[in-house]
Amino acid sequence: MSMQVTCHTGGRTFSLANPVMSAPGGVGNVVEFRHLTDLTKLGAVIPNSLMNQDGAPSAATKFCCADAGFISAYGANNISLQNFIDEQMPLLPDGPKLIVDLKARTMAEMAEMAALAAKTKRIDCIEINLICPYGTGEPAYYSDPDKLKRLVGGVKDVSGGKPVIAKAPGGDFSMRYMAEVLQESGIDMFVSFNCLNGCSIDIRTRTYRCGAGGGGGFFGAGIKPYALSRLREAASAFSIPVIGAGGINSAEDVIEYILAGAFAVQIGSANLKRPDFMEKLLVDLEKLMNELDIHSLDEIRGTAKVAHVDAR
Amino acid sequence: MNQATIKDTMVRTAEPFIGADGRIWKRVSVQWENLCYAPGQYVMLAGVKCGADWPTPLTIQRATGDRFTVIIHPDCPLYGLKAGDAVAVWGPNGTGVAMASGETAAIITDARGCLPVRPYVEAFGDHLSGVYLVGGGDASTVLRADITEKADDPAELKDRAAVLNADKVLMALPVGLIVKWKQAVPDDLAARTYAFIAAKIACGVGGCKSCFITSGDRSFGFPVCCKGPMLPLTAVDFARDQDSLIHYI
Repeated sequence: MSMQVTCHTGGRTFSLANPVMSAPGGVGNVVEFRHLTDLTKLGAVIPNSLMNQDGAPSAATKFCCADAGFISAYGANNISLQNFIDEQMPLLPDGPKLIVDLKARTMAEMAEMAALAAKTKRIDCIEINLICPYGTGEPAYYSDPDKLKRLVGGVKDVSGGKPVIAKAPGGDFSMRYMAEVLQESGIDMFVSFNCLNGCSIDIRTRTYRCGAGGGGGFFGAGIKPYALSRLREAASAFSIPVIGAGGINSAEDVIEYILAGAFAVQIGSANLKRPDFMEKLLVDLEKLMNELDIHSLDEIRGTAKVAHVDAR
Repeated sequence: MNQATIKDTMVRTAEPFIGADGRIWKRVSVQWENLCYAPGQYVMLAGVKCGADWPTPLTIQRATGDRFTVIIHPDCPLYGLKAGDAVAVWGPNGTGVAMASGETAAIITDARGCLPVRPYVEAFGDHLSGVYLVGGGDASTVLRADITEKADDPAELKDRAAVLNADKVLMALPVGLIVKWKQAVPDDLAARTYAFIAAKIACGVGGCKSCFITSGDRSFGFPVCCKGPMLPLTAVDFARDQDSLIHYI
């Protein structure tokens, strides 16, 4: 039995020791968790989204619990890519692949950061966060096919052969459109889900509980059925590997995502339930694979069938 | 500082009692052998499969032998915990305010602020110059200390000798009252004041940034969960950060 996952993309073979990686968003630089969990066991680690300058977390309430999840509105909640490379990356253990998720205010800024990531040996993959341009108030690049192609093309040009991943923006979008444009741009992998928009109101104070604008991203177990259906759509629309994300809280959820076609999975909200969540998830996943007689995750990928009445 | 660890453990006892605000609070003991902590530190505690699996920061009230004790307010999602429930706990987290030999401290709190300041009352013992209660309630039973004086507004207390002469003033009040104190007192008293900063702590390890405040000399700010939750009053720019400081531990 092996938890290793392998794919072929962009003319190369890409493997992870297992399908579990952190999602950018709630894990800081990942190193904050190293005293409480064994990071070497993970397939990959992704720190919070990095920009070309230090961020400034929102001065509003950034987090509130909601039914079956939470709402968060952190703002630009990480240091710069350069500072991450200089100060935090050396604290990461060897073993798991390191993927950096990049947000930028302009295409030039994104390409500049991608070039820095490409020449940094410890960084294995570059993830373009499609919430770009970030924080400028301009329309998202992904809504314009030409701009999306230029965004991805600018990163591919300087990526030095490292795999380039695109992470879905928050909210809704056409998966078929995204697949067409991104694959024409030469993207190597796609992350099928980011978050839904959410808000919550304290009815006693009549104020929104979270976010400078009164809302944020909704994460957690409550979004899993929707996020899983988006993964399924993406696995059908894209011919490249698709990474699943959204509401994964158990080993059973991981198997569901793989059966629906995920190459690997990003774990976000569950890391806030306990800092060693991903390590425990891997223990549970191994047990579950044994129980279900699954020898390889690669073998079961995308094999879920629609149940017909006769077969039930 | 004590290195945080994580454990899967269980609730040993959950005893209701009348809290300082007149509501029914719970004193909950959790199995954990020989927990080393400093007064003011807290644990993150999450119920496992009991409908309250998002962690909540809870001030460590006491640790003896095979267990530690926290107090749970009825507004806390963990209020339903009962003996035998499985919990995940990580800590001790944060830093406490240390007292040098011979130093004295005054404590100013409201009824609900008893939760984070109670360990200081117990630890400081004879070094307490006074315990002051702002607003209503009955804090003496919870704090196991006599209340020196009650006040409606903390600013009324700024001229009291026990406050003026204290080496440190520790404060657990709603943010609006902390700001009033800061505005009312002279700079040297503000510099000796430490305030419980009620930011929303979600991960407890400085990762998620939920509790980051933007004050300080770093543009990126700092995590209340690691540097606090009791912070020097002068380290916090309330004009910038008060919108995020609404949650009590």
